[in-house]
Amino acid sequence: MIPFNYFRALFPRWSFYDQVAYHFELEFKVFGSADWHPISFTQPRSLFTLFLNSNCNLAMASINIIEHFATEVQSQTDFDAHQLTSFKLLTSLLKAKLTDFELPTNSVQFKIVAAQCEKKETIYFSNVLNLDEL
Amino acid sequence: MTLEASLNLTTQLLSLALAMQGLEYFLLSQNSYLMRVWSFKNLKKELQSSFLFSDLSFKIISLLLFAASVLLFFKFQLWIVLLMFFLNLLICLRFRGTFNGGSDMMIFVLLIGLLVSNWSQQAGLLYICIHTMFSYFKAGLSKMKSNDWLNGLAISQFAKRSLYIDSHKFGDWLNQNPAVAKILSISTIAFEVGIILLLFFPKFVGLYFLLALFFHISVFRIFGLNRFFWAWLCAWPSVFYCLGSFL
Repeated sequence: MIPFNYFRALFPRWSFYDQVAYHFELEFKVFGSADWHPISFTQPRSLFTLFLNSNCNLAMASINIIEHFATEVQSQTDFDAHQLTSFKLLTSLLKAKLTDFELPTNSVQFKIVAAQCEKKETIYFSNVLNLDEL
Repeated sequence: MTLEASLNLTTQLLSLALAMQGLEYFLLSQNSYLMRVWSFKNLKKELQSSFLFSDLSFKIISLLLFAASVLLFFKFQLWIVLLMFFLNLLICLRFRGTFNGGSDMMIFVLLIGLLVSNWSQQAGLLYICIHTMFSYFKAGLSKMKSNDWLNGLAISQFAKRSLYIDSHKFGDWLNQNPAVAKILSISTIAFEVGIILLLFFPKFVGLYFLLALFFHISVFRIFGLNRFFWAWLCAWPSVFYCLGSFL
């Protein structure tokens, strides 16, 4: 059954950028390495984006996936994140983004970091994932 | 603005906005990244219908939205507006609520307003007008309750989260010029909350509209939110009509 919040576009909430709340960032590391790398969604400016801005809108939709997952992780206890639809979308996003990286191995781990101004806090660590199985 | 002119302008602007969105969706349907992430395989737990939510259906929906928008531009027909409502709903469901947040919500307000206008043109435009004016007012009211907005911190922080690197630099510049940041913050709040004054001084609607254009262009420039610009532009004919007719 389609969850009720999937219909939220029909019930407008006119609060935009009202609070400097935490935003969520996605970082990954290769298995065996200690270095975490952020996944970037920045976009270059281009002409006519007032009319067609598909890359930017897609990037914003991608960031929404991270936020949805982070919200679900924070609102639930004692659950299997792997069963969440947002987890499947997030891991697919990660896999798609990592095609741009030359990774020494297909085993990666990701984390979700809540950031506000200069403060950062990790709210979720994934298990080690095999990109080929995602 | 007359009733007929307002309704025609709303319809044609909305058809342009949705034609652009339909084209965007179609371009995105060719994007392997999108089709891998928002694949039916990932979504089928909640969206069981492969007929409505398969990868092919997304392409078809985007083309139908574009075609319906073109038809609507030339003639208002109830079935076209209903179709566009349904197509937009399918897209929002696919993206688990909204694709682009507030602009999707305003598009539905506009579509519902046009649907209502089929039975009562004034009621349809009034519906859109009320939502539009409330959207500015509520947004400003929410900001008034935030210390980060009142002290000027919010704009710089949001700019630094933009997808555009030069917006990050603008955010850094605002951090170094807190007086400017504060002026911009207070001005934004005043602009949004100030729409309520149009109820008492409707003759200034043209001036407020120009400020709104500047506001939405600025938001687009900083954050890349092109859809917001078009969605709110579509709503303004109803504001012009209603403030001119009922006040």
